[in-house]
Amino acid sequence: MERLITIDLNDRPQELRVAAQATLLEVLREQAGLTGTKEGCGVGACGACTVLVDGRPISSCLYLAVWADGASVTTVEGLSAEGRLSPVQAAFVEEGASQCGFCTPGMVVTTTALLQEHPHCTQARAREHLAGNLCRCGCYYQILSAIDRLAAPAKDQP
Amino acid sequence: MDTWVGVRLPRRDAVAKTTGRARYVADLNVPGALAVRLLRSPFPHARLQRVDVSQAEAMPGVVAVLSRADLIGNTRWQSRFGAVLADETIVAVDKVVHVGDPIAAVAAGDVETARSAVERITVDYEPLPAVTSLDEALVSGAPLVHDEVHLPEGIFEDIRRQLSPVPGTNIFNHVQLQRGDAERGFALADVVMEDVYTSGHLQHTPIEPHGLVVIPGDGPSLHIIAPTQTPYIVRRMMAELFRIPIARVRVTVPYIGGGFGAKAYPQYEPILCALALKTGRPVRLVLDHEECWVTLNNPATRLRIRTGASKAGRIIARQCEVHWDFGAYADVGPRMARNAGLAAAGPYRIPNLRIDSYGVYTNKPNCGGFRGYGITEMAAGYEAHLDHLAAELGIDPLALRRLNLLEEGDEYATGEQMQAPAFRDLLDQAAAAVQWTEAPRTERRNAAGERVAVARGLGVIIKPTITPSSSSAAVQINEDGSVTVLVSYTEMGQGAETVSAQIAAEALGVPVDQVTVAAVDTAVTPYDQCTTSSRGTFHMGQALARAGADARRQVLALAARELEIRPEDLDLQGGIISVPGTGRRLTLDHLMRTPGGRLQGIITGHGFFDTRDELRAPFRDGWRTPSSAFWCSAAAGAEVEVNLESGEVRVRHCVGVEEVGKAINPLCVEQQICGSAIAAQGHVLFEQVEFVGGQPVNAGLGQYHIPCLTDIPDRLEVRIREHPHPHGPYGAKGAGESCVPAVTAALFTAVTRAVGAPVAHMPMRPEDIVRAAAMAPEAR
Repeated sequence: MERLITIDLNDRPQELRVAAQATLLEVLREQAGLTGTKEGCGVGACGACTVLVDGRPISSCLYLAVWADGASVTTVEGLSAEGRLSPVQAAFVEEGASQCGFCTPGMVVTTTALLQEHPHCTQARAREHLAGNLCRCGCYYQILSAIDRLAAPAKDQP
Repeated sequence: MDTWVGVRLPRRDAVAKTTGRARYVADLNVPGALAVRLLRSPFPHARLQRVDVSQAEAMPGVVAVLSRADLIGNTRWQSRFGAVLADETIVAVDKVVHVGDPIAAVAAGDVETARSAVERITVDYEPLPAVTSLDEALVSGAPLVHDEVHLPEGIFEDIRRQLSPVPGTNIFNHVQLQRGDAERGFALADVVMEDVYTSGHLQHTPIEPHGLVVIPGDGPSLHIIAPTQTPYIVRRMMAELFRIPIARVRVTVPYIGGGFGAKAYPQYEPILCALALKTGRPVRLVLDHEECWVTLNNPATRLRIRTGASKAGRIIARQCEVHWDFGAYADVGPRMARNAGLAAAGPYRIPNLRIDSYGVYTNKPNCGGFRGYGITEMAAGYEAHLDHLAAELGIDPLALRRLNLLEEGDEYATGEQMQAPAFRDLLDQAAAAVQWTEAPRTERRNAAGERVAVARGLGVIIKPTITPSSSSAAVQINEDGSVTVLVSYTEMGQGAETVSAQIAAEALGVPVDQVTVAAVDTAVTPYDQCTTSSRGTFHMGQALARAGADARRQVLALAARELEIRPEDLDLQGGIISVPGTGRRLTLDHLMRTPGGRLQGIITGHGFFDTRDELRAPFRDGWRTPSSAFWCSAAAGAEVEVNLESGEVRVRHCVGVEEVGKAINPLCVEQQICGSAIAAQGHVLFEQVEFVGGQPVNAGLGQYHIPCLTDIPDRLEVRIREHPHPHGPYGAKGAGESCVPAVTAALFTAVTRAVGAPVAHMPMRPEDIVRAAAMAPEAR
């Protein structure tokens, strides 16, 4: 059974005809042609499939596409406007926060949401917040450095 | 003058990976590709009485089903293959030997149809007694996983001489090393100590599961698109298996989403090639991540280690008996049993040594090396054992190590002399960095009244690289002066592309931005044996440096002809050819547009590097000397806090120190050391594939815990030591793995010290820690 959904995908309205049981991950990769979001574990444990739905990071491998009807969806491709890296992406590149790169889109998307919600994010909060994004190559410290670079100190901090 | 060596350039692939534009095999659009799903054995050991695929074949949307019916009596294809021993068939024929062993493969128009079709395949099994542990496999009269050992033709020279299976048993390789007289050494020793250490199977868990595409063509020919660390090995083995000339088999390698050894040697290429040939259509397989747990794991081990020493702490004799539980197919097991087995000696001066290393078949999914290649398990054992000896002798563990570490001119276990060994310096740096103290542990009560111990640990290791081996490379200067680098250095996250560009730019004399590194493609990029064993930068880098130098010579020769000047009066720096002392300059672009340059078209420089010629190493007494083109050397220190009542471990501080010869790109080397340290933590504290009756019961990242951001050490320090290696490009040698064993040993010894009693098994799970702590003297 198929349903027609409307989503605001990377700032552009899109109408998609999706199977009722299709995950958002499948629809993004196979129908919308956005292969930046990855399927890693397929069970919501690794974070490689993270996208933002109405600004909140979700595991798109466990999220039915039909649930996104009417919502805004941001994938990693939506973060770099007109070929310019977002501040998070630029910081990741500078700090060497990517090795094989398979976890990177999920890391970048989750970090983007984290810093939108907590612009003065501490390292401890960053560790907690990103605990659901697994990296086997071991980029965690470089990712933390990127966040450190981006997290502006709060006005009442020295 | 710009130099590109030692420069912390951002990685070339960083932008593509951060923007989601980097393509992995599952991202590729392959028109008309059939989806493939596998039927796998639910039994660890069973004879196949009947395999009936007719119902599956009849399903609408199913194009073909591959089963033993395609193999029996098929003389077009070879019947067996394997990385070392030819113990594998494309799919199971007579019997299945592990849970997950592929029996059939369905190719259909879409994945859902393929999955449904797999359910329609009927198999009658006759379960056979299975051996699912070392003890079961080694007992006299144990059921045999394979009824005979299949010695191959034409395998790598370093292994052929070391292959000695024990017929009538599950031992597929027994490697022995002897120096001096171990028994006599024990008789002379003041103290003799024996320990046993074990480790469980570990799963590589690259976040990207295995996957590949095979496109058949006329001839027949095969185009394999696979995230493989070993494209040339895959090409040769598939050509041999399907009896196709190698010239008609092509392997192209997209970005690899993590390898760590899981994506080395053929894994699913045989099945997919067979389906491609059978259907005449492109075929694609992407595994469910859980299937990685029945594809390739890291072997489980048992190390029995005995050391005899003088009262003063000098090691006089050591005997090691190592068993490797390698699962049902040997894969690279024979090599690992050898290289890792002999590393059980550690980086120590041992005049009397005996090592027996056994590769053993069991009815579990087969194994291959995980980053660290078995040295990890050996290092945890020999370093914990040395701490035990230190306690017995009343000597500081650091002092005991320093007394026995290999120094300049000392002979290693294989009889070769060490040149400029770094071990003492590395160990001293690690010890200083974690503030090693003579008080081994401290204990206190936490706010909940629980006993918490803080302790430090040290580890120092030596690891060989696969030797002999060779690499070729080419550097091309195009019609517009831009440069293409051709090398088969597969990018799995280690920075292959970036480092290749830096080396080529340096050797040629151009800005690194003028260099493009071509994608790995056996039709385009020259031969390299494999991207494994930390050998890439050393071997392929050296081939590249030579190729760049060759291209440079040709550039200067061409410029000399065009400018009517001698080549020796010309210089090439930063992409500009100049006549020093005059104002005459010419860019590479201009040079290639001169009449001579236009006629030349493009300039191609070639480079070749072969360890055998370079190091003039003949075989002697069955061991090549030197037995490794370079030695990986690293040390580590750790400070841990262990809750002795809950078994939880917090790593407060960890430092990894590695001797890398020369860091071509320090950012990349740091990434490798960090990654290695985190992998080590997984080894020591979390990771084990749990088997029940041969069935893995914790497959998948939802159940198999790998370190995440809240697990990692509070503080991780990385130190790079650079003593140029005489044969490496600009002095560089491998850096990808060494801190896995070093940090593993440091963490293992630290937690052991905190507990106050041996845990003796990796991973050290909370329940193991609690149990051991309850028995420790400190508990009373």
